[in-house]
Amino acid sequence: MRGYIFWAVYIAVAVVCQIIFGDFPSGFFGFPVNAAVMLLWLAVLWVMFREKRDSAPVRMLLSRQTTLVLIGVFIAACLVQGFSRSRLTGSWWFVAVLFALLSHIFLVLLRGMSHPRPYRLRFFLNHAGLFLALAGGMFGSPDNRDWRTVAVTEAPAREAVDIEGHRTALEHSFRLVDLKVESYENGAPRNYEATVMIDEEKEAVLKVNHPCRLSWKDDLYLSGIKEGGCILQVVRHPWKYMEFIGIIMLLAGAVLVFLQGPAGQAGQAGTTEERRAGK
Amino acid sequence: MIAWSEFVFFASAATVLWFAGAVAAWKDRRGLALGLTLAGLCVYIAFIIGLWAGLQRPPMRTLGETRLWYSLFMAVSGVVVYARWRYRWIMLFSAVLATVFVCLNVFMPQIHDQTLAPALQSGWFVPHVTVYMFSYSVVGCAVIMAVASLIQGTDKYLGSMDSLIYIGTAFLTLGMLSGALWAKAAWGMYWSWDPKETWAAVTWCVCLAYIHLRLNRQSSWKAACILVLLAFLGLQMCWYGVNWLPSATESMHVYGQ
Repeated sequence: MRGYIFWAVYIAVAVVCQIIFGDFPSGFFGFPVNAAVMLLWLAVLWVMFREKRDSAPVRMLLSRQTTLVLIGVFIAACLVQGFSRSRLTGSWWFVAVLFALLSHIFLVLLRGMSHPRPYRLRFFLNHAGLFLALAGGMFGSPDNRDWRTVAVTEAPAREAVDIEGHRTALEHSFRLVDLKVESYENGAPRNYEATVMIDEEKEAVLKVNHPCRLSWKDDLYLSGIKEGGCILQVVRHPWKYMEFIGIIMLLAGAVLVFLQGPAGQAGQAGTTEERRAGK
Repeated sequence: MIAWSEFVFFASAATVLWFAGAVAAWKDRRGLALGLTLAGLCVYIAFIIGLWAGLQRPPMRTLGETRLWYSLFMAVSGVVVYARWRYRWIMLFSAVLATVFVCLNVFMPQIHDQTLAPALQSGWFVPHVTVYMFSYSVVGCAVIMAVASLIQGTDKYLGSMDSLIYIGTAFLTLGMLSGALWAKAAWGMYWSWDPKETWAAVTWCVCLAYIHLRLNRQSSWKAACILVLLAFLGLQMCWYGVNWLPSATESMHVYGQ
């Protein structure tokens, strides 16, 4: 019961913060603050696990009840987002739910890997993969940028507009060299391909679903065509490597879930009749 | 070349064979049941291959086209569950469910035009859609068992439900993450909390809740059955229900409703 009360109060505090302060100030957590906060938080969890593993708060954080409560709360948060037209993922309560879920996954991961257990590799891949994908998405989001610009043949584009409509100077310039558009008989676009000169030095061929790498953190996308030019999207996503590793681990974990089937007591539990019969 | 106008003939032959297989399964004639159902699947697959060739693109774009795959995988899941666990009634229910979606395609024809938006011309398109449709059908089979459990008031199907939900969750994960990798190549981010993605997350989390609930031997089997029903509701929302929500107008997943 204390667990339910704790999580109810936790979410209520986040809702009160949302009412008082508005959305979570993610801008404050740009690099290096986000990286420092993440490392500090992981260190605190690790010390808590090592030194206070048997304390009531850590046992509560590690309990199966907490797993189910946090999955339930996360589903509720997703349902609110699913029915809403607004983007709510930047709100205090959504960040609080994600933070609690990540803390729980990390502690469960520490416990699971600290002693031998069945399906150890699958457990590690699924939990560590989910942790990396979610943590990369949450802590990395203040560093993400999405700019759009229109490249034309006449002059290189050096400015772009972000998703909030602010104009900004780009680190690169883009000039359209050639644009090929294939259409169906009814006029609908079948495919398009743009050749773009980057910084008046390097030519790149861009297609839908085939971005071009500008640097370790920036990629260039062809996101549409416009009369006389093409719409280019510059995406800055420096934490993508952490998310990618998490996704690959989760994919491998899913393959093992399929191959190995039900885990732990679920697969062996059987029916009530079987258990009564001692099978 | 095969076109949608010929679907009714192929679908009729396939559903007759599926039901004949279901009747044979009910009468415990296993070989005949498997043979008839596989024959029905061959007829249905022949239509899909012919349609694929006729459209000159994978038939996976419109809602009607995804229903085509769902019916196929529903019949496949039913026959696999029957072959594995020998529930005599499962093929009848999977045939009914597959036929519902066949009928929807026969009686609610949509505009099945040949165009394919540039964003859908990706190597991820076929694996992403087929893996998702397969996971939906496997969860569909688990739902049949959950309903049977609740009606009969027994937990004797829990072991089979566990296996089906584990397979369904594995394929949901593969579908969701292949979608994330595709989204990165197409839109720049792995995850954007688009309405479709949000409902996919809801469905996945309900399946995870089932798995974690069932790790506890003492957990309520009724709660497990209800979670399976909720997972099924979630995937219906993710598949087509999301199109009716106001947020659908801003979805990046609207290609061919």
